[in-house]
Amino acid sequence: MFSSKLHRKIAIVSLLVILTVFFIWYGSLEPEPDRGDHPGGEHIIGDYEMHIGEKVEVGGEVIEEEPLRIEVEHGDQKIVLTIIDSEETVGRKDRVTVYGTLREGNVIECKNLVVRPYWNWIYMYAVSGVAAVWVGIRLLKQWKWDRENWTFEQRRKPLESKKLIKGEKRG
Amino acid sequence: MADLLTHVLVGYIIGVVLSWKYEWISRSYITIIMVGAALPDIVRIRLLLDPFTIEDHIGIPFSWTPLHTLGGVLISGMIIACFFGEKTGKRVFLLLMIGAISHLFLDAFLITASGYSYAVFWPFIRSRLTISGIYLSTDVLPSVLAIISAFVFWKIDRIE
Repeated sequence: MFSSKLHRKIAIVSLLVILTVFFIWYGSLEPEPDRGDHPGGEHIIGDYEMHIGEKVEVGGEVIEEEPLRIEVEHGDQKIVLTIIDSEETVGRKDRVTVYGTLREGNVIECKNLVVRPYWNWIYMYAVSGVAAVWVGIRLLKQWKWDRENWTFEQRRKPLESKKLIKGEKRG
Repeated sequence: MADLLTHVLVGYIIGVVLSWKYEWISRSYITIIMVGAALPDIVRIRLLLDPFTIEDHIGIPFSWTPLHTLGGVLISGMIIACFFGEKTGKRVFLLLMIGAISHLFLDAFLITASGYSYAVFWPFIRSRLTISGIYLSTDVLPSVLAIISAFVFWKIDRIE
């Protein structure tokens, strides 16, 4: 991409600055229901009274099935919400996302509820872990780090699995 | 977001198909498409570094979500491409974007409670798409279908 190391460093730092601006910019956005962005758990925990009567979309873990109660987290703060008017069958530890109207007394009048069963949740993280390891191994076998130029280079021949496990000899 | 395995397998299939048309797309470059297909999931860094804790420390609003939007993948793809040589870097960026866009496209079809998808095109467009989702991020079927399809394409590729 760049002919000199200095230009590359300047580019990387500039791009990281833009990315950081994105993180702060997005974090400062207020919900806009007209654009499909409804208040979430962080807004309810931040100021519950302000959002009473509004449509909200909140995700949390099921802590009680009958009545349906979920625990919503925001950093180290938590709130327990009771979901009414839901006909979905849920189990403890399932993750649910609920869309509905926020009512007084930590209640959401449910319009729609999406359930992610606990074991499916575990499955998702397990296969995602497998995928991350697979891509990592492919990268190590097919690309190498050129310490002199500070770039990744394609290997002429993929690194053998044996060498990958034992570690590649330098030089 | 769908599970990471589904995303990287879709990236693999795209890579294999493209390698039939473009000779320069070698196995190493197929891996780069797979990395691109995993790129938006860097957003999972929030499981390790809680954005709300960061917010408390720095005193200003903060969110990792841009990493899972078009704007975010463009910038993170450019950062990664900077770590490759001049000619390779341009190819890497292109392939990372192909993988990342396949990821964002698949995730636009996730079932949501409100019926609104996520802000795919942020920061260019803030509105969320109204798409009737067809699967959940935790569903087993997408990954099973992706495994079978990838196996079929791997077999065809070997015959080719």
